[in-house]
Formats: sequence, structure tokens, C-alpha cells
Amino acid sequence: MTDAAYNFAYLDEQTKRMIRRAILKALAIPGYQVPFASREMPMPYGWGTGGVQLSAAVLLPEDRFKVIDQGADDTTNAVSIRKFFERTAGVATTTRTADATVIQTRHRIPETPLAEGQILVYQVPIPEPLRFLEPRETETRRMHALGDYGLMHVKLYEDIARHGHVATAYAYPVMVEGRYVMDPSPIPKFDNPKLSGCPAIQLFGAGREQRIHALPPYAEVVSLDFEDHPFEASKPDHPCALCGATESYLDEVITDDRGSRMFVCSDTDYCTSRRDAALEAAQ
Amino acid sequence: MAAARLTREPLELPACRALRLQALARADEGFLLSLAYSTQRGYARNHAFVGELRIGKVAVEMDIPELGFAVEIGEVTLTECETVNQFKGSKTAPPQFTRGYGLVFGQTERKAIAMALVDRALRWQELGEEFTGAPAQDAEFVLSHADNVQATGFLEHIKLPHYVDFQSELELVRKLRAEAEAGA
Ligand SMILES: [Zn+2]
Repeated sequence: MTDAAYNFAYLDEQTKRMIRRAILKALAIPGYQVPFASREMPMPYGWGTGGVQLSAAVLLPEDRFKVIDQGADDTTNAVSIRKFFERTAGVATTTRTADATVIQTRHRIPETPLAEGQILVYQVPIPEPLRFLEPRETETRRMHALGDYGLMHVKLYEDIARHGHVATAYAYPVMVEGRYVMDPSPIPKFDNPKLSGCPAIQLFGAGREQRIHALPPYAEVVSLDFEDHPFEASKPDHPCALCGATESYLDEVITDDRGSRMFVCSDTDYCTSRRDAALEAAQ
Repeated sequence: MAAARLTREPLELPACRALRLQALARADEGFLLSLAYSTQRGYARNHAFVGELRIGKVAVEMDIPELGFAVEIGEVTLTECETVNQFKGSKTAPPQFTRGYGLVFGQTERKAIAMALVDRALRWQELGEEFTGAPAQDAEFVLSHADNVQATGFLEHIKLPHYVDFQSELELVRKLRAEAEAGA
């Protein structure tokens, strides 16, 4: 039940309108970082305040909401945010990717392909893909305006010259619709191919940095690479020890103090669904 | 033109003095103290005389957009500081004194003085001074890192699980090491 002391989904209507305008602008200019008047939320910055404001702005009473952190529904950040909207919006919640209409995520894209009508909301710590090459916002905004991404290409080239590979494993930069270089949030680069041609709306919210960026459905998203060093979506070379999946992203879990380990799906809904289906087939 | 409001609009850089003062009033006291101290030690040196330092109570009005008017809801203690600073003059201005301003919540003379010194240092451009590269002169650096609610949240978020991104980095490091060993 909604706590009657709160406006629907916590934020006041004027704030939600302001955020929706920013979302529309972000969808109209895919990959462009739209400044928005981020509000202080009842949770610390860095813990999903941007994602929570996006979810608050798009949630409707009839929505079914899912929250994951590291691919799992039962991690502390995911549990807190799910409870927050259960209390302030009274929306139904689910752990099933296919059943959710709005999914808020930290660091993963679900394994189950998303569909039209779904919205994926990413929590974003640093929205600026050029930030660690150029710390000044005044400079990076100019570079985006001019499409001046030489610094990024030099960085990738230097990685290859030094290590033989691009030394970025997560938050791997992408080019959106041939115009803006975008940070996809700290998802493993394994997830990057799922960004492109996705039927769902993808929204990225950075509360502390006051930025929203977005990918409309079916946007073309290309991970930056070179012809002779093509992008590779890598993952640990094992099947899941629980469900046997070979195509899912895996966590490495240490199981004792002698260094034994197992690899299991990071997407808990995907793994559980596969095990349930196998169990049913066996009966 | 309505005054810029830091809490209602996204901060855009370069920021006008009104916005800078709003940010400094909200800034972490330790951060301001260190920056102000650095100006005293020569990083954008600006010796300050305290022209005014006072403590008082002011009314707090809350603007309620749905009603269209403000309601007084209480009062709060503030500390205000105005400094008088040296100025040698520039090509266009004869020698004169300049000022820095600090206004902070609570009875906090140290923060108010620190804010005034940092405000003065940030005014280098409008006063035709040189940018020496001192941290206290760098508005983007100061404004981006002064809010301790933001800083605390972002610092402490590293307590949250990061095993997915760590795993991807671990795989990459293993691969690079395997190739380095094979090549050695
Ligand atoms: Zn599995």
C-alpha cells in the first residue's frame, strides 16, 4: 500500500515534469548528456539517486517494477530501492525480467532480451566518457559539441600499444547513432552488444552529476574499436555451475579458504528461471 | 532576471558569483578551511582583513509553488563575514581594496571567514588578476568538490558490491598477465 504521506513515487509533480522534459530531450538526442535539476533524495549520492529520480518520473500506478544490482534482485541496494517504491508508489514488484515494465539496474543488463514497452533505468556514477581523460566539464562539453573524440581514440590506441588490448573491462565507451560517444555506466563490456538495437527504452540517470542520457528503442550503439582490433564482449570461459548456461555473464565465487571457486550466473532471475525450467522438464 | 538557484537548476559552468556563493555556503567546512588556508600560504595569496564578522538570527521563508506565496516557518542562526583584501590594481583599475563574502549556517566564524577568503580568490577573473593555477582560484574544481553530502555519498558508495565490474577487470588482468608470461 502507498504511504499516504507521500506524493506518488515520492517526487512532487513539478519535479517529475522537469525530469520528463529532460528524458524527452535525451531520447531526442541519443547519447547526449542533458543537464537536469537533480533533487536531493532520501538516500546517499552514489547509491542510485539518478536512477531513482528517473524511475519516479516514469512509473505509473499500473507498472510492475524490478530492481537489480550486480544482476541480482536480492542485493542491498536493489532491495532498498524496490522497498522505496513499494512504499512511496505502491507499485507491484517482480524479480522476473519478462514480467517487469520498468527495470532499474546497477552494473548489468538482464540476460533475458528486453521487449518493446519495457524501460530499463541505469544508475550512473560518472556519465562523462571523457572524464578520466579530461576532468573539466567545460572542456568535455566542448569536445562533445564538436564531435572531437581524438583524445578517446588516442587512449584506446595507447592501450593496444602498451597491453595488446583495450584496457577497459567495464563502462566501455560506445558511439551512439554515429554522433555522441557515451558511457554505458559500469556494465561489464560483455553487456555492450545488448545496448544496440534494443526494443526497450534505455534511460541513464546520474543524480550527483545532474545528467540524464538515453537510448531510444532500436538505437544503433557501437562499442569503440579499431578494424584490426575489433571489440570483443568477453566473459569468464566457463558454464554456470548452477544452471549450465554458457551464454550468460558469470560471477566467480570463492567457496572455501583453499581457493576453490565456482562460476555462477550474475543474473539471478535468468539462472533461477533456467533451473526451474530444467526441474519442470525432468518431472 | 531571477537570481540563479543552485538547488533548483543544474549547475552550469562557468558559474556567476551568486551561484558560487550558494555553493560555498553549502560547502564542507574542512574543504573551505583548507582552501582558504592555502591562499594565506601563497596559493593565490590574498591577505584578508576582517571588515565584518557577525552572528544573528534570520527568518526562514518557505516558498510554496502550489500556493504562490511564501510562508515563514521559523528562524535560523547565521554567521556572516566580509573581508577587506589587498589589491595592487590592474591595467584597468587603480589600486583599491576588494572584498570577499561569507554567509554560513550556524555560529561558525571559522567557516564564514574561510568562505570569504575562497570567494575572494575565485573573483580573480572579474578583478583582472592572473590565474596562477592555485586550487582556490579554480572555480570548476572548487564547486565540483565542495558539497560534502555529494562527496560522502560517492565515497561511501564503494562499500556497495562491485563484483560484476571487478570480475570483468579480473578477467582482463588475467588475460594480460597470461600473454605477458607467454611472451616472456
Ligand atoms: Zn546460471
